[in-house]
Amino acid sequence: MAALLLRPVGRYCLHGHLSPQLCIRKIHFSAVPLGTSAKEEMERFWNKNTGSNRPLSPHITIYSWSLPMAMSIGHRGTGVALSAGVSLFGLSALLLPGNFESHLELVKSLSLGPVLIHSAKFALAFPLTYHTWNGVRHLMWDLGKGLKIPQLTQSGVAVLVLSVLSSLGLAAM
Amino acid sequence: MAAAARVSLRRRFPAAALGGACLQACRGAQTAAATAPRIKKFAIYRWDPDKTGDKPRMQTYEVDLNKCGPMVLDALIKIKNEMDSTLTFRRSCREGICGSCAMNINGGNTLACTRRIDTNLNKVSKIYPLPHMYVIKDLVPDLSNFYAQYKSIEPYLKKKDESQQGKQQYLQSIEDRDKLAYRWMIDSRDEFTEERLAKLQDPFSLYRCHTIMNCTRTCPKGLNPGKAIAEIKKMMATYKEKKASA
Repeated sequence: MAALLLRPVGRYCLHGHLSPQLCIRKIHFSAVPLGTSAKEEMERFWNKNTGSNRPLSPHITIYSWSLPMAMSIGHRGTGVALSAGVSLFGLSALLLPGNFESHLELVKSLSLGPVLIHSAKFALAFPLTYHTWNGVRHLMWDLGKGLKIPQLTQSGVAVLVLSVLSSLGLAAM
Repeated sequence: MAAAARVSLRRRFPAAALGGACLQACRGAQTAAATAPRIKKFAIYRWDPDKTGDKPRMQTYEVDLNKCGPMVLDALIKIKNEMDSTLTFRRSCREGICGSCAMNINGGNTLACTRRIDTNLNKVSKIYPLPHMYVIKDLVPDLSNFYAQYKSIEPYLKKKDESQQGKQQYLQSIEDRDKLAYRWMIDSRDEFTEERLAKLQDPFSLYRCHTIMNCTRTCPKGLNPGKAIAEIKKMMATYKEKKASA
């Protein structure tokens, strides 16, 4: 649906009987399309710039970081990590020899220190809890709630605190 | 120090004429103390399209803040006038309303005319053009794609029946005026809401927004585009139901 962008065409009407000095202009809208459409302008932009030697201004290297920005990329990172983890778990269940119990016995036989076991459990639980709590924050945003800047910082800190606490809780089980 | 000198002189020579002379000496001492230059360094992105083989680089300029206005634009103009006339940037209203001087200052996108210079002389002020844009020269980006995107949303009121145009003012309620951010969608005077929403029904126009909220953080006019986009997404979810029930 390309809306015709109309251009006002000026037409001059002289009403002699009213007043000879007054020149009354009537503007009529007729179907005179504007020079370029938005799509054409975008195409011209890309053709012109990709064919030139113009540099792209720096972005990630110069933009100052903020908590909401870092948490957003963290949400994506943990999401990718969780998907990869679940896929790996599924694949190994399919392809590796032995069952879950035998693998659990293998890890127990390594006799790793309790500190190492705990921190490994924490490292596994944290992406899950962070992604879940930040996911709730995202759902609130989809409802249109909590999108003011101070609210963003408050909810962000709340998510981080909750994630750490729930990861500790899960790791202690 | 100057005050102490004044007191001691008064005790010794109580004549009024001498009092006037020492007042001038005090004033001189005070102004001398004020003229210690406060040098601020500005590291500015430079690139010249006319210089073959030129690569983008940072050039540092030193500005005495005592002889410069408080805003970054004042510093840029001072540099261009007094130090390097080849420095190129856009500017117009110098009061934060036109948007010409938009650039990245110390990692944040703002208007140079409303961003105060950080008076900490130990830090260098870093000035870059708007991020991830094709650079025409120095701090000037190519904004034609941006303008084309604005054109594509048809930023004007559309009525189904244009015959009443010009007869009476189209009035707006106060509640409507409050929602000025996503103004073309929720403006009750615009009757093409469904069509506007339909135009966004593709994976790119609206749904590339991932609620990162950098837009609201950086807005120099205190607007909330992030919230406006969230509201548009909500409208997208419900308008089909409206159409179905109609």
